[in-house]
Amino acid sequence: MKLHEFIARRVILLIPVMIGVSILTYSLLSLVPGDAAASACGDKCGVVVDTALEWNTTSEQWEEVSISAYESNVMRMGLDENLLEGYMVYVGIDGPYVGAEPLRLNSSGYLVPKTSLGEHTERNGLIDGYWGDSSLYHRPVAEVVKDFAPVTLEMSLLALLIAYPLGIFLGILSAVWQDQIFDQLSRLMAIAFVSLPIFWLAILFQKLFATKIGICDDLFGTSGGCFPIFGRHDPSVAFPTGDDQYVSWYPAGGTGFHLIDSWFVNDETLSLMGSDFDTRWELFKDTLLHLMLPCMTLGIASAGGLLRYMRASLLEVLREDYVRTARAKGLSGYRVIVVHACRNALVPIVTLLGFSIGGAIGGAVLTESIFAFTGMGRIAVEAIQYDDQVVVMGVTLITSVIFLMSNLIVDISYAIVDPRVRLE
Amino acid sequence: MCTMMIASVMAGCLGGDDDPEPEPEPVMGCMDATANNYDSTATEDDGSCTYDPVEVLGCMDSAATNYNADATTDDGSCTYPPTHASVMAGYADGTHTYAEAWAALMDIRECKETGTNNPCEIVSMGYGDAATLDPHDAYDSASGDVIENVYDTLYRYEGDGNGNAIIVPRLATSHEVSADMLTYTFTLRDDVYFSNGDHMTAEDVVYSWERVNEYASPESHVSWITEQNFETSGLTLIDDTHFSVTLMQPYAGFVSTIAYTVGAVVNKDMCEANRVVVADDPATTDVDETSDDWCHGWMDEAPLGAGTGAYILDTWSREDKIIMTPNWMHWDSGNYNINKFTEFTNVDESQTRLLAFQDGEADFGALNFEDLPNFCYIDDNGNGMFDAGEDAALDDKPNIASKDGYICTYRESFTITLAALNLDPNDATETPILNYDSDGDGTDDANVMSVPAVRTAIAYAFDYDTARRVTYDNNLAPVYGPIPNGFLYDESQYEVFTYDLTHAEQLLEDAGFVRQYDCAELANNNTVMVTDDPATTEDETASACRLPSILRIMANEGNDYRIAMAAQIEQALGSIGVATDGDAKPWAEYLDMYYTGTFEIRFSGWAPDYLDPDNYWSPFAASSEDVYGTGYHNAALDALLQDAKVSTDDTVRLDLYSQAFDLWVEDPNMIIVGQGNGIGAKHNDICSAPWAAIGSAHWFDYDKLPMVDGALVGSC
Repeated sequence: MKLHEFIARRVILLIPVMIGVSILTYSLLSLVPGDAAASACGDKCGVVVDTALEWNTTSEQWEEVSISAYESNVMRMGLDENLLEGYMVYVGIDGPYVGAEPLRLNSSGYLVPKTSLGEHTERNGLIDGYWGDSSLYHRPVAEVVKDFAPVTLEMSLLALLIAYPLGIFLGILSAVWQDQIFDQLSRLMAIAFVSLPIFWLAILFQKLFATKIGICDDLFGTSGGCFPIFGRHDPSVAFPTGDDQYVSWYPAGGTGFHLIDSWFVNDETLSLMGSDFDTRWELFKDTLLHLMLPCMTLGIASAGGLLRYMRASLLEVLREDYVRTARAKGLSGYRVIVVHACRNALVPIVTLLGFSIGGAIGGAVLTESIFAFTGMGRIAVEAIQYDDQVVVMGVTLITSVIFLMSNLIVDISYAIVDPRVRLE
Repeated sequence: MCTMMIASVMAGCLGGDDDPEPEPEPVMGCMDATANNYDSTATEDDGSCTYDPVEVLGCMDSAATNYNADATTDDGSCTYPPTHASVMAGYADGTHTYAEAWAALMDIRECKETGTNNPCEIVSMGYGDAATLDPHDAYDSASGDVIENVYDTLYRYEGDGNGNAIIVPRLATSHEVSADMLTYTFTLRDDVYFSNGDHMTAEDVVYSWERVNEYASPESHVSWITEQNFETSGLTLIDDTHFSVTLMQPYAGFVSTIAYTVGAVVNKDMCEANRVVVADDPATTDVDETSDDWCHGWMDEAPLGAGTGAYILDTWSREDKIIMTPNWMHWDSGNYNINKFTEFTNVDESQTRLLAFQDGEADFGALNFEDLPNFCYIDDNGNGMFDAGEDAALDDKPNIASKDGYICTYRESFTITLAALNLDPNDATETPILNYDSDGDGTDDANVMSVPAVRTAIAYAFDYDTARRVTYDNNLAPVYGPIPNGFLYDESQYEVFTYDLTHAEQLLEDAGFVRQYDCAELANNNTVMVTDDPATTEDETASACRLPSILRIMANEGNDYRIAMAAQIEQALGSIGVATDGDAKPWAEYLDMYYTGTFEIRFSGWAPDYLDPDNYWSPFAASSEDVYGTGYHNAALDALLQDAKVSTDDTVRLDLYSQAFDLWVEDPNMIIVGQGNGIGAKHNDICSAPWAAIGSAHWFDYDKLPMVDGALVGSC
């Protein structure tokens, strides 16, 4: 199988997987007790917010009825749909109602069948790229995900950039110096980093590296630590979001990955923003400084596990015959380890990469909360708390895509790392 | 020489006398002929000359830029530095363009202090973003905090400095009320401009209130506050500074309702220019495509020109931060002490907020009570300084003291903690639980919770003092009825309910609820079974239950206070023979149970929308509102509340609320646990406006003292 056929096949396979994920997630969410309409109005659900005329089938007359905040929310959010109909509406597939059709208020104040308002026949859904409107964030879910997914991804990827080199490097040294003091210390650290709760590690880093009482002020003469305690940027920093704010070929409004966006801000825009950050480098530096503590927290927590994997894998490889042969040939120890052993020892580490991305996104929930980064993890938790099901659906779907794509990349990278794997 | 000698001799000879003649006395006086007091006889000038003042023309006003200290006559040439008023006058008459006026006003009004603590900026941390900055669809406090600074209302809530909230005029200078109490005619300021330079007139106000009613806040439903009072047709524009509104019925709290952010004034021209109206498509006969967003899409992020408030929205990075900068055209007099306000909206972790506050990265943060001893203490020994151990417990909140570098203040809020009692509870299938024969016809037609004695007994079974002092760690102050202390007519209430289990049990006994039901059957099988078995001589009634159902007591997960209170009353009711089932539910499920009525006792709370007692009494106890879903209906109480609602006479209203309270305590529908209080902590460089328990902080009224060389300059 050729590489492009392999990729195409995997991408096509994404479609049934995503359909399965959407059905499963939608069904599970419908089983969760709770009521988004009630969450939206809280203690004031009982407040009468409107009146309407409803057809009374007994008296066969239009009668005035009161509509509470709760009832209004139910209609607005479409929570009176049954499970199947609700899913079809979400996906955007037309279909007849099974049983009674929900009523909606028309512009003349009458409660009328929903289809008469045109929503049923002209609706959009997931297949049209419409993911629904968030009742919590008051915006289309696609916009919410577009805004916050890059935050989590940027943090997670940078964390992996810390975790992988650190874990692999220390793992190699541990394996080479097996059972020596360095090995014992690094194993101890690995266990500690894996075992320590991530929130504890985060708060420890905040105190050590971001406050006046930490070590930075004494060691480096900083004022108030090496890094900010929280936030994605200094209060003065605002990344442009409108059209034509970046260099001409760059996506309008930026990508949301601020480490990258900072290099492509239009100079004129930067000068007009009136902040203290008037060069691209300063924007980049501010972004990086704010990312360091959360990424160190996430990265070091992941590095512990990677160190253990790399050590074990390399120790296994070092016992292989071909390594012994290489040594017997008179190759230097460095060349034996780096060129021959490490490449093979990396195969299981590459396998882990796909899971690590998923793990980092999952771990980002707590990290985002502690460092006041609003990313997918935080909005997912908040959406669950407030029963904003379309946001939960959106985050789940996009996370699934990321997870599947990262595993696809891992599979492709096998071909690079493992000489035994040949796609063609 | 010889000649001189000869002359001398001759002179002596010619004199003829040996004694010299006396020299004449000098005549002192003014010898200047131009002086007013010239003395022609004077032989010696004594410096006393006086002259007519010489007129020096020039500017004699020391405040002027061209002040002349020597000038004797002001020639009208004074020129002054531009002021807020002069620039705005120039803008009004067309002398200045908008850009010129904006720049000049910024130069005049901006904070120019320097210091190591960024004295012209305030950074705050919260844990919830604004839902929208459209004031006519905003009903959450995070949105209100921004809206109150970006928009103005005709009146607004402020603190009076003594812990009380008052209503003060803002865009309105006054109003008159017609004799029938239905028509309010407002007079507006004439010097108000929107942040884009548009002049605000009565037309904008009328349009704004029309927008509230017609747009009808589809997401938040906040428009009920105005819709309860007037219809759009009741609004009448009189001229640029006058308009009237005719209410559907008199309402004493009307002015208070429009002081809430829903009464904010928006820019009519801008709104109309950005309004999206979709007409019905005549091609489709069965579908109504009509829609009208009333410019909500534009107003959602409060763009420049939307409001007249002291600040404009500079940045709103959703779920991250909100930055406000001055609206230099704001009409209020005075200059800005705060040029930039930043709110980090999503600092969820309390430990992060604490660290950032301590480290000075933020000026304000929603600090947890358990973190306050870092900044506050109780001066137990009265020596005026902090001694070890004085921060161990901050129970005596009204006497809170501040550690160095901070200011701690005691505050009472208007939030009420309560437990709603449901008179018509449903079972899990949402079917009413009928277990009481109210009319004695042998058929159960009501629930035991509908019996006033049962609810009164429940009210006596609650341990108020423990809840306020222990459960809430002294964060609740006593309150005896719906109206909180410090609110209008709070004197109409007095303490009635206390923790008295004996009395509670006696009330049930007297109402005929004797111990007769098998509690185990109720608890295990939800079956009502009379327990006294005639086949045995043993008396099973001593431990039997009094009510034929289990009272479901609800609290929401994550709220440990409510969970603890639920546990207390569950135990107390159990001891007097009332079976209960306490449960903490996830928030969404808790609300769902509330709305479906599948509870008997539900712990909850209330924060006021506006400053009128009706905003407590009606939602709590009027059958027309019954916001807590208690199914409560007391016709006599309804009548009193209705009268109190429409009366504008203070004495009458006080009397009506007193009568209402007397009726309600005989037939209560909720346990009123207490009124929130707490301690606010801030850095000592922040000078706040007086605290108000309703409304938000107005940053224009704040100041931040500059820190120079490690010391604060000035004082609050």
